[in-house]
This record gives sequence, structure tokens and C-alpha cells, in this order.
Amino acid sequence: MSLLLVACLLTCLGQVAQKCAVESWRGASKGLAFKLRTPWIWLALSAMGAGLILWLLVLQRLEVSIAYPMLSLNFVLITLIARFVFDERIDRRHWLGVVLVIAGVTLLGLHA
Amino acid sequence: MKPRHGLFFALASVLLVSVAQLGMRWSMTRLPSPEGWMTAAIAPNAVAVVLAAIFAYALSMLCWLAALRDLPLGRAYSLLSISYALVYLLAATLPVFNEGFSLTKSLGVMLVILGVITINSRPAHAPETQE
Repeated sequence: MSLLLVACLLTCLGQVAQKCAVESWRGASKGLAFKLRTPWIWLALSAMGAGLILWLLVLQRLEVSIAYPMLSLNFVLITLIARFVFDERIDRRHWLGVVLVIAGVTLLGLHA
Repeated sequence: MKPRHGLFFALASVLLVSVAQLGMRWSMTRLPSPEGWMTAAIAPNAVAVVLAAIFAYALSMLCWLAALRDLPLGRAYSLLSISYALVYLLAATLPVFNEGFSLTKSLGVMLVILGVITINSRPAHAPETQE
């Protein structure tokens, strides 16, 4: 289970970096060489690589029908990062979604 | 802006990531745990499948990046939640996975999907934030 959490954290980091990469590419149509020079893409790739290896080890132990939906904990993590690191305002609907995801993951966890 | 391209890439990403997850599960249950990587016998077909699955996963990432250029993040993530249902249904129905349906699991997957869609839907009056 802790393996799954670390895999989630790495995936989360990878996704934030990916988004930063795409944003830094916007407006610049300078081809692949330029794109590969953004450091974000390298951070994204290494976080995803490490996350992938851990994920494979998770799948060795947990059924994929349980483990894969649990990756949605990412949305919970991203929400908490947005709220407490970037000080973004999170509306009530968003928190309701977070509660639903946590409830779903808890049910799946009972099964694991 | 070509939202239809975005939709195509998002759906391709959903399919690829689902196939990748199933492939990884199938192969990892047939490979030894890390302690045995040096000593145990390693099935070559499982290695082939895990590599193919990783390739599909990487391809799904590329489709995802392509989708994010045209689709708002919220819409794209709502589409991604389809893959939770797809993986669950396939893993539960295909006999090679032998994972089976259960009420708690179905309810859990449904709550997760509902949660992801709730998080990523915006109220009608608020404009979608353009990333």
C-alpha cells in the first residue's frame, strides 16, 4: 500500500512537470530539439520512469482492477498541492469530488 | 484550436493506457519478484508483454500531451476516468485475469469515476479555465 502511495506521488510530480513542459512549448514552434531542451520534460520523464517501476511492483501484488482506480488518489494529491502550496481557491464541488474519490479508494482498499 | 483532434487523442490515450495496465498486470504476475530477478527463471513471453505494455503506456502519454494542447484539462481528465471502468470491466470478465466482480469493488470504481468527473466539471456559468 505504501508502494502505491509513492508511485502516486511520483506520477503526480510527473504530471505537474508534463504540464509545465507543454506550457513552455506553447507559442514556440521550434521543433523537437527545442522541446527536448526544456528541463521540465526531463524531470517529467525521470519521475514517470521511477513511478513506472514502482507501479509494476504494485501490480505484482495487487489486482489491476483495484490498483488502477486507486491511482485517482492523484486528483486528491493535486488538489491538496493546489490548495496548500499554490494557495488556489478550491470550490465546494471540487471538495465533494475529493470526498467521492477517497470514499471509492477506501472501498477498493477494503477489498485489497 | 481543434477540439475534435483533442477528443481523438484523448480517447486513443484512454484505450492505450487501459491495454497497458492489463498487459503490465498479466506479465508482472508471471515474472518473479525483485528478490528473484537474479536467480529465478524468467519467462521470455512475459518480458515481451511487459515491454510492449510499457511501449503502449509511453504512446498513451504522447497522445495525452497531444490531447492537452486542444482540450481543457478538466474535460481531458473526465475522459480519462473512462479507463478506470474499462480496466475494471476487462480485468473482471477476461478469464486470464480472474479478478471477478464484487459489489464493493464496483461501488468503489463507480465512486472514483463520479469523484473524478465531479472534480473536473465546472459549473455552467463559470468559464473553463484555459491552461
